[in-house]
Amino acid sequence: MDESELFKGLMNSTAYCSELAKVDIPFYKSIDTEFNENIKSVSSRFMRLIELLLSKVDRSRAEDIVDVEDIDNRWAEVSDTLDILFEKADYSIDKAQGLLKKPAIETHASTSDVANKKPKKEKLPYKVIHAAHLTKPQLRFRVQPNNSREFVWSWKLTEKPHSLVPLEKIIAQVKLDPSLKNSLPHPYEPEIQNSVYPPWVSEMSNPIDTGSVDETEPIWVSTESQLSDMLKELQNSKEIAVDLEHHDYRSFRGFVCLMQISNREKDWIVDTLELREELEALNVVFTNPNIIKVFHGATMDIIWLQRDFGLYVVNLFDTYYATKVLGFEGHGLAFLLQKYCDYDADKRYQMADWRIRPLPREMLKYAQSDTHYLLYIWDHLRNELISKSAERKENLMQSVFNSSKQISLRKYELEPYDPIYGLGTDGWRNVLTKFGSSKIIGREALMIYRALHDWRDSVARKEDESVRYVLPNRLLIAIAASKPVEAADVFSISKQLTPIARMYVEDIVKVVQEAEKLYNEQVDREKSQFKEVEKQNQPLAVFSESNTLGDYKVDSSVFEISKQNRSKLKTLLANGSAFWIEGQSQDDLRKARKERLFIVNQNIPFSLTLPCTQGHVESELNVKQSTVTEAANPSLNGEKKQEPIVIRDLGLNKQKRDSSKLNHKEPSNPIEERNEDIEPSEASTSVSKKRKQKKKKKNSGKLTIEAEHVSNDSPIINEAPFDYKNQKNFIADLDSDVGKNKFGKRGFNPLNKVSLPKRNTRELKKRKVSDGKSTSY
Amino acid sequence: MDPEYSELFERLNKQLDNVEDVLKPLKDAESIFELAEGKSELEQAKLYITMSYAINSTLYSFYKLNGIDASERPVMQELQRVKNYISKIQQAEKNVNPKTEAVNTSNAAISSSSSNRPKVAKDAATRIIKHHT
Repeated sequence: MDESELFKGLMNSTAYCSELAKVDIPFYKSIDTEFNENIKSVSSRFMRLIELLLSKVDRSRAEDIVDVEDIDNRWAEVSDTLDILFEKADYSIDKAQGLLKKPAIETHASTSDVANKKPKKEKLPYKVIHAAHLTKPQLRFRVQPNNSREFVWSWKLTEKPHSLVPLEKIIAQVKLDPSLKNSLPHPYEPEIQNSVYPPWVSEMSNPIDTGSVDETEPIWVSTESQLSDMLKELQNSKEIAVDLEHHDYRSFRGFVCLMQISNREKDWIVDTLELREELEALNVVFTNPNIIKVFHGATMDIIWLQRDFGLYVVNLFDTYYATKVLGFEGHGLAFLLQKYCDYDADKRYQMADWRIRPLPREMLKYAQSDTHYLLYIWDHLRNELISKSAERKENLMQSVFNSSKQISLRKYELEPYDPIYGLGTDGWRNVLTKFGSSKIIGREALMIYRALHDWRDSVARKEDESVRYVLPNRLLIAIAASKPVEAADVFSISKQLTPIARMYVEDIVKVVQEAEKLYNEQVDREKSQFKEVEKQNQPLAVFSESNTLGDYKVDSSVFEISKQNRSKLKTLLANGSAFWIEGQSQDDLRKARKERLFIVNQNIPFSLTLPCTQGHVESELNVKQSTVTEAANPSLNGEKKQEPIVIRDLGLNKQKRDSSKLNHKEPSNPIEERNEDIEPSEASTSVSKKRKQKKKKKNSGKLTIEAEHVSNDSPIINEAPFDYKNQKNFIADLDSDVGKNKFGKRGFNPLNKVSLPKRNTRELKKRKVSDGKSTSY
Repeated sequence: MDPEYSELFERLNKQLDNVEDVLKPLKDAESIFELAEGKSELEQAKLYITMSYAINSTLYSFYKLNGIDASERPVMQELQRVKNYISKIQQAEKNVNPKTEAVNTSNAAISSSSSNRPKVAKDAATRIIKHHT
């Protein structure tokens, strides 16, 4: 297809259509039949063309397009068709420019990884985990287990090989000291404490590979003759590996089902169910300090050996502690088997039921693998401990030995049942905190729970079943919480009721109901006690009444009350006296403060008088007081201003002016002194001027007014030389001045009582103001 | 009928005959994507854009011919998209073959200013560099 030709054709056809569209097409259609037919034919051609084009892009969207209305109604489909073309174009353009890149990481999974994955092992069948059909092997034990609560356990030792302290001595100690009965001493404690590893243990050696488990066949030991044969070979060994398989689900105290022992040449599997009482003979090997006993995780093995067989271990090496000291990633036997032997142990059998007889082949192989490789591992661990000891300058072998020694010193002790406090690993308190703290609420539920727990323990001991087999902890709590009234209630709690629980359903209901009765009785007792307390309160009231009635008794009671009152009064007085004493002290403090203040006030004037002469001091005081009065009483200024008006009227007569000036000067002493100084000579006038200058420096503009006043007065006095005239004027003016002053002041200040020095100050100010104005006038 | 209009109709029919002749390979093929096989990326892009132009152009002509105002229809937007894609293809051609310039017969429909890149002012750049050094 030629795109350019297509473009040409389409553009030209568009142009012609536009040309035709210039006319009014609907109008011409109605007028001209031929025009209408032409339009129809061309339109149909265009429509068929559109249909062709759309169908070639996306056929499903281009169906049944007949009219323009179809296109408008289905524009979404047309738009989608166009979008397909545009997206394809975008992709092609980007690819041409090289903008598309392949993803860096492919998501395909590699087949090798899938192959490397280990297939998940299915769980063991239930028969292997719990052989419920099996008769109890403990029924065939020669010595039946004693599960009684009063049972006191003692050693199973009949003789003590490789002993430092004979067995007779230890037994004698126990008899002498009664307190040791409940916690017997460890019979081999001195031997274990004094034991030392043989010297060859601290030397490097090549690990001895004993081959695969499949290459050797374990030796089954179930008769005494086989046991004696094993003992002979073990006594010739330098080291042996030991492991145990224990069962505790269908037995109250549990028992050992299997013992695996290996040396460098052979593997033995001992049937401990058959040889339970004969295995004490192994102490010849286990307590021999020249033979190293290699265990892994011997914490519980040591206990079980003592309990079931009377066996004790001297010179134990626990590979678990070696992994701890060396800092390995894993601490289990499976880790060591994988690390040194590349052997994948099937750990599903760890929880299998080892009571099964005869044992399946898989279980035998698993049991053998627990000890078959252990000596090889012990060689490797020893070499690593020795080499790292050299690096770190520590004796790592000794530290592992010490830890193993502590494990050897563990001893078996019976854990008594504690119905009151619920102590112990299986005690009711532990179980309650783990499982039922949110369900057992209230005292009644707690009593029922404790009763059921006690019942479960007694039934387990009687039936020689584990507590978990009789009634699991969760079920125990569920029953206690629901408080069943009849057997149907117990069955409705759980569909997986244990066989013994089904057997003892009636007993369970009885226990629950008895616990409820006990609780109700307790509640009733408490109520009755409360009532008794109320009854006891009444006779006390009666006694008090009788006391008040009797005359003598009344007196005694009053006396007693008076005694109490006296004691109270004494306490009150004591408190009061303390309070008042404190008050007095406070008053004394206040008085002292006041006295100090008075002293301070008295001292002030003395300090002022010392540096200055009396005249200056008085003038300064007057000035200060005047300033204070002005500040305190601004209204006085207005009064002062009113007085000069009178003076102006008087001032018209010169004689009166002179007389008024002289009269104003007379009442104050310092002014008189100044006048006397001025008259005799010019030198005295200069001295007075100096004094005035000093005052100017100290005081403000007020003194300037005084200076002008004085300077104006001096020539007038000089002009009048005759003394007689002056004398006459003084006498006459005194009388007139006295009257004027009194009346004037009374008229202007009728309500004020002012002291004399203040009056003097006012007069001085008035003179200043009036004199200034008169001079200008 | 007016002879002018009859002449226009004759020419229009001729153009449609030409278009149909060009589209014969498409008619014979099952789909446009079948025709695109075996071609280069740019040729494929051209084919797709031509196809979309054909659809929109035909719709536009149909609207005009029936007296419908096409400016109100979404066809105008689609035609604008076609123009943008044509300029895209031209730029891609320049990037792939910078020396040779492809001759486009549909150049009249494209504004030349939008297709040109802004050029660096070499004289100004040299002056700036000399000034700073």
